[in-house]
Amino acid sequence: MKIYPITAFSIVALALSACSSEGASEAPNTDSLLTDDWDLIQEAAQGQEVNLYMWGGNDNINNYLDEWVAPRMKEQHGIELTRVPMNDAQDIINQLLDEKTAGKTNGSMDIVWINGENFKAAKDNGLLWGDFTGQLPNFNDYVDAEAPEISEDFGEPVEGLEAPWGKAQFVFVHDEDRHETPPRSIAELAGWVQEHPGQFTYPAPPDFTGSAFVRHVLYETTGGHEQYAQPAAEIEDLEQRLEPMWQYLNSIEPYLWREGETYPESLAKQDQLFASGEIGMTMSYDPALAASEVLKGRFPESTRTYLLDEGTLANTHFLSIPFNASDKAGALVAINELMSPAAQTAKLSPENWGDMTALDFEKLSPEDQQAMNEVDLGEATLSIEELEQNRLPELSSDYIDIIEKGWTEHVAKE
Amino acid sequence: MKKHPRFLSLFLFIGVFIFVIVPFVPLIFTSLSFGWRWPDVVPQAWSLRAWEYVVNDGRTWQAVGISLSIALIVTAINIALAIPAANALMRYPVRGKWLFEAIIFSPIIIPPFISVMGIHLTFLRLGLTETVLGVVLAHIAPTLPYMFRALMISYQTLSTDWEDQARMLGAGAMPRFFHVVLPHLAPGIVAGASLSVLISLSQYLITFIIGAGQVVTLPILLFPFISGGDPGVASAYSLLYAAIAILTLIVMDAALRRYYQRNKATKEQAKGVKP
Amino acid sequence: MSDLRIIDIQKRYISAQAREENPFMLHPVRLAIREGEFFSLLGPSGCGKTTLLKLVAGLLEADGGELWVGDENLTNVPPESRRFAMVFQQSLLFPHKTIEDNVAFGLKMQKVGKQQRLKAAREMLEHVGLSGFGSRFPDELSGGQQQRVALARALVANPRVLLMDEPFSALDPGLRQEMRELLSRIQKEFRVTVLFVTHDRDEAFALSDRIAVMGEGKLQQVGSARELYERPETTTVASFLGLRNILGGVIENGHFASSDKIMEAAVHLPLSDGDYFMVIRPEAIKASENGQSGHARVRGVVQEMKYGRGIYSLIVKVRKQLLECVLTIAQAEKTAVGEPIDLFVDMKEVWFLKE
Repeated sequence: MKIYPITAFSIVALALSACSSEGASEAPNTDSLLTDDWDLIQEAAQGQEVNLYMWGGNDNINNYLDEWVAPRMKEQHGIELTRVPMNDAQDIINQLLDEKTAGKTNGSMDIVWINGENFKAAKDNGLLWGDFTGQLPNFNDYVDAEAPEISEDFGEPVEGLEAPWGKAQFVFVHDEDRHETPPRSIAELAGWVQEHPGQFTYPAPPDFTGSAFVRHVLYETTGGHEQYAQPAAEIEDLEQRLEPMWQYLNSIEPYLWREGETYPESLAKQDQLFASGEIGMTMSYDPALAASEVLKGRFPESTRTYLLDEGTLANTHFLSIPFNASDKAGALVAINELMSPAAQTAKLSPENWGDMTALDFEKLSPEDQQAMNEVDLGEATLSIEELEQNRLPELSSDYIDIIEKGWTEHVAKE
Repeated sequence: MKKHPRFLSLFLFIGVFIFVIVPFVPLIFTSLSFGWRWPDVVPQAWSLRAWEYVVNDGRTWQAVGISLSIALIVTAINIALAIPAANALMRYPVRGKWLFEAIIFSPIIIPPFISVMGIHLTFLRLGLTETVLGVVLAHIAPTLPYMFRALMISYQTLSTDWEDQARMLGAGAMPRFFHVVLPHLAPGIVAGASLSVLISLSQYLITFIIGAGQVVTLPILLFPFISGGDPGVASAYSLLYAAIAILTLIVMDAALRRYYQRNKATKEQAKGVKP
Repeated sequence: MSDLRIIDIQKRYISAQAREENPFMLHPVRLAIREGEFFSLLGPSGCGKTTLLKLVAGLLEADGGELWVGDENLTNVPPESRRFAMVFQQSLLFPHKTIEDNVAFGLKMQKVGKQQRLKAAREMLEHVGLSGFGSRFPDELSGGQQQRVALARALVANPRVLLMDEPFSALDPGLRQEMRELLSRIQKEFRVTVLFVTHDRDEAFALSDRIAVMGEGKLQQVGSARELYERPETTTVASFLGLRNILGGVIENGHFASSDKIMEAAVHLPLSDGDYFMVIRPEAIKASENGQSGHARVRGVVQEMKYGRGIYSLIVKVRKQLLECVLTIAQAEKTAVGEPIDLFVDMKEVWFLKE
């Protein structure tokens, strides 16, 4: 009997040593890719297997990548594109941090889908490869690199570390049949909730969407977004300036769903309340999400989206390449392809995803422009023009931290 | 008096129905509905969208295969580790026995992700992340305690007299193990293996951190849909997951029955042959 | 000659600090058991008899000494290779195997072919009166039947020595008697050497050729039942064998005087002067009124009378000493509890111990 533990131990030890030798191999120096000719890069990319790590909780997005993008990538560039489903982009950063600490040089993540806080964390910790966007033909041809929503990501200079993939804009969602005239400003909303008690709520920050809703309140109740362009630390009376926002949020609380005693813990929960008709309004940072929910039958046909008169927050989401990506050439080609007018047009279609293009419409060829215009966004989605004309810039993440912590203190606890 | 058991079994049946079957009904409805909204008790329209996505996605079946292989390898390793460990702890006066037990049982009490955070860096350096082997090793921590516990109980009821008896009949170490110990442990092994398989199948965080997206099990596919708020696909995945778990349990139970029936069968045969 | 020889086998306590003054669980034992002999180890629980049996079996590791069968040294041979067999207090039949498979197990371990071993198993089952039970499972048998199977299983592989550890103590008295007879018959039939552990004197007496009385981790005395009973060497042996009439006293010039002065008599044995214990078997005390020569007379009061199998056994109080004696029914009818009685001790039947 005594021999068993020893045998088991030696098997495990053997297996361990077999694997560790595999991990030790050095990755080749790939920094020349940042300056090489595109033709050379395309050649190097041939036959590479590229892993795209991204949130995997939407079947439309998953299908767009698996069934629309991946086969084309294989056919046109000989690249095997594999989508790796993640639960949260934060996990990608944690993973990379550990890999950096452990000195792993041949990482599996070739492309990661990030923005905002995650980008800042990745940039601050040196988890990203380098200034690569200038190498991408589609970036050079179709993207307005000077536009603030491209050159900055939640206030953080992009510096070529990530390439824009799409844009999102905050919209409010309501059911036209139930409430014909929804409130079109934060001030109107205060009156509306009193008239329709229990019909409105928002996901508790730090939920991404709930936190964005609170920022709209901030902009309107404290006199516009311009004052927050500087770093939060430089505003001395910040707490006083934020005071009207807390007052507003507390004043509407008694008229919210469940009298504001609890808030939905996520947008998913809130959408479920809207889907089941328990509340009359929801919100989304994806202007096409409502349309796709209608297609799935979750939201009623009469669902519509709308913007505030002052405009709503907009942001851009990006694709980036980690410092230790094993197939950087393939990653470059894949990102370039994902930014092509054809891929962007397909992405725009609600059956695929309904995500707004990151490209500058003016720079597209007339044919491409026409193709994009012909995409049926669905009745629930606003036109690209209307969205474009009502954009508000995002706050940088130091403010977001302050607001999210403050919300727990000033609103949730009181 | 005869009516009593029947009444009891009916009661039991209703109990099983309420607690086991009923929770599945909303899952089934959700996965098949199109626009199922309050206050409809039953969906008004049906759609195969969620199921089509789940079934047609090649990854689903790949994930099923990987999940099951990991669970089975983990369980096999657990059996190989737990038998000598339980034997030693139950049979020999080991000094500091409580410490061994505390170490082995600690993964039940300490949340697994804490220990996984710790081993992640080590596994990274050893090149074990992103490998099935790494995930298998990481799954051992939360599953071994259950296997160990089951086997400890089995060993508690196995007096050494049985092995002494076999020994006196000329049985060496291996025959003693296979003829005396293993048959006695078998129910415990199956109980432990069922838990081990189920727990391994349900690991998300550990698989995710150690597998780093390269080892895609069913929970890895399922979790983003739960947090992402697509109850249709999430329900379909959940049902598939439940079906696989139940099927595995049934197969293991059947294997145990067959193991015992092999002996019974020879007995029936012998009875039939006798004049 | 394949005698079983136990040469100074000993066992110490595992934890030394527990009994500094007596580190032995079993003091060195030297015994030779003849081939075909039925040998019993008799003693109260905790006397070391089971320890000795397990040392012989090899299930316990001895701290010294050797074990031989014939000219083969088995001291370092593992138990499974000693070709001994053992029957425990519980039948320990393998519950998942049929009776036949249980009995054939020893042969299977010896790699005997399936047909052959099942045939041998069936034959052996016939010997223990269980033919036709072969295809049943252990839990379908009664306790006595299970123990018969255990016996058959032990014997089937033709062991050199059959070790038995109180094999019948868990059975009903009637069944026990039946099993003793069966064992006795089978032992003679197979001429197998048996080393039998029991705490039951009658069992040991009924079955054994020779008996070793054990106490306090030592061999006290070895001999046939009669030798032990009639000529015990120590008071421990005497009292364990049920001899309760033990009087301390002094022998001077061939004359014994008990220290409590209840009796004085001439000694028939050539013993030197000194302190002695006189052991009087109950049968050596008579109530006959005619004074007989060579009998010592004592006077006491009947304290207890018990009837048993055609005789009465009495407890008589002589001053502070209790004497046990057996009387015929006729003699017993003349007296009653509380009555005075005259007893005569047959001095030819008494036994003296010097300690």
